[in-house]
Amino acid sequence: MNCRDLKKLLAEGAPLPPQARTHASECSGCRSLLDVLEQPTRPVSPALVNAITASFTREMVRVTPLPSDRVLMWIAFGFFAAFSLLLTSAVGFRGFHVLSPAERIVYYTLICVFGLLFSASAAPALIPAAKIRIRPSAVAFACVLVIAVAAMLMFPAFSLNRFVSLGIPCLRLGCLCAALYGLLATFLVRQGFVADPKCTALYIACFGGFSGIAVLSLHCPFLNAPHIIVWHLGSMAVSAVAGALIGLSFARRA
Amino acid sequence: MTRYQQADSTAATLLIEQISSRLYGFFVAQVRDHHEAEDLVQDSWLRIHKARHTWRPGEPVLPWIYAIARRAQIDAYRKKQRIGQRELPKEELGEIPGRNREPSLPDLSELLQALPPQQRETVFLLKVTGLSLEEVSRATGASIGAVKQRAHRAYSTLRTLFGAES
Repeated sequence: MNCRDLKKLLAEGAPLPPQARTHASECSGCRSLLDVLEQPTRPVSPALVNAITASFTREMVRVTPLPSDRVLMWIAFGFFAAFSLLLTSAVGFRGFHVLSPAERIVYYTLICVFGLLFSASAAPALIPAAKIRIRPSAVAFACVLVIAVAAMLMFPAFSLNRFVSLGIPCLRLGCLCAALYGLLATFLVRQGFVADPKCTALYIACFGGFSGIAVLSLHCPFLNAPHIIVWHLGSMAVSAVAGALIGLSFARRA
Repeated sequence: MTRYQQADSTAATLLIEQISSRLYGFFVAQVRDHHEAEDLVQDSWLRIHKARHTWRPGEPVLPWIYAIARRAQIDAYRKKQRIGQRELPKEELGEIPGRNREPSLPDLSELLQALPPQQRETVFLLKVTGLSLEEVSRATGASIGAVKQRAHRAYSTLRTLFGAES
């Protein structure tokens, strides 16, 4: 056992074995380090503790804990599905009707899978220190990649005819969905406690952008890979940038 | 904590008594100002009280509390920056214990000033508060690998303050 091993053990956060204590008793530097780290912290003034206790115990109200991660995931997914279907019913299901049954199964299965993955990342957005099972950034990245590949394989029409004029309305609708979703989801997230405004805003924006992709997949009848990759997936990119900026401004204003 | 959620004032008192000193130590190690640390303890309790429904039975309590406390500290720091206050210049913070230190041990909060904020926080939570790597990862939102790396770097820096390694 040497100083290097001791540092490694400390970094592991595990209790120190007897060999480490033996090394520390022989090495003045390590002994001093351990002594400092193990010295008791100063207690807080009893007056402050009494003041805090008095202010809280006066108005105690029973609260119900938030549901489990699994329940939160299904709530988030239900909200996403209801929002996407409701908004599409307002603009029309033209995209759904032009797809063949096989294409519908593949495309909407992908949308549901990523919807579930985004929903599975909901807990850390509203619960402090919740276990992060899936990073929303990883889901967003995988979602863009998989949908882009699926679009290239399923809709191999690469015509750029009226590329911009057909694309702008899709991007506009996608961004509108993301903004609406963001507003509604913010209200839901506020039922919890936002421990990291930047990450939460980015998460809501990415999920909102994804709801835009879902609405466009049901509404847009243009089965053209470049159109889907640039204008449909672009709505998620635009909303992610907007979410990052909003998150930064919230974090600064906090 | 469950009884605190059920509005049991005895449980709330007990929790406040048990946790406040830990929070105070955490804040003193970060800000080195006892008055500011006391304000932060109060602010943290306000937030903990408001957010108490977000703790779910079966989940570890301390990472949840420290995640809220961290937020309180970050917000207070930003507020301080915004209103134009500056942190004390390094010379006013007192000497960081070096190789030719006094025979008496330096204070932990003094020693931790030699570290960047993230490493300082990691060492405190790991070693002083006794949280596990996973709990620190949950409290800070960093991955376990990142927590380990920060801790290792921090201990390397601290160890060099106490002389050459063997």
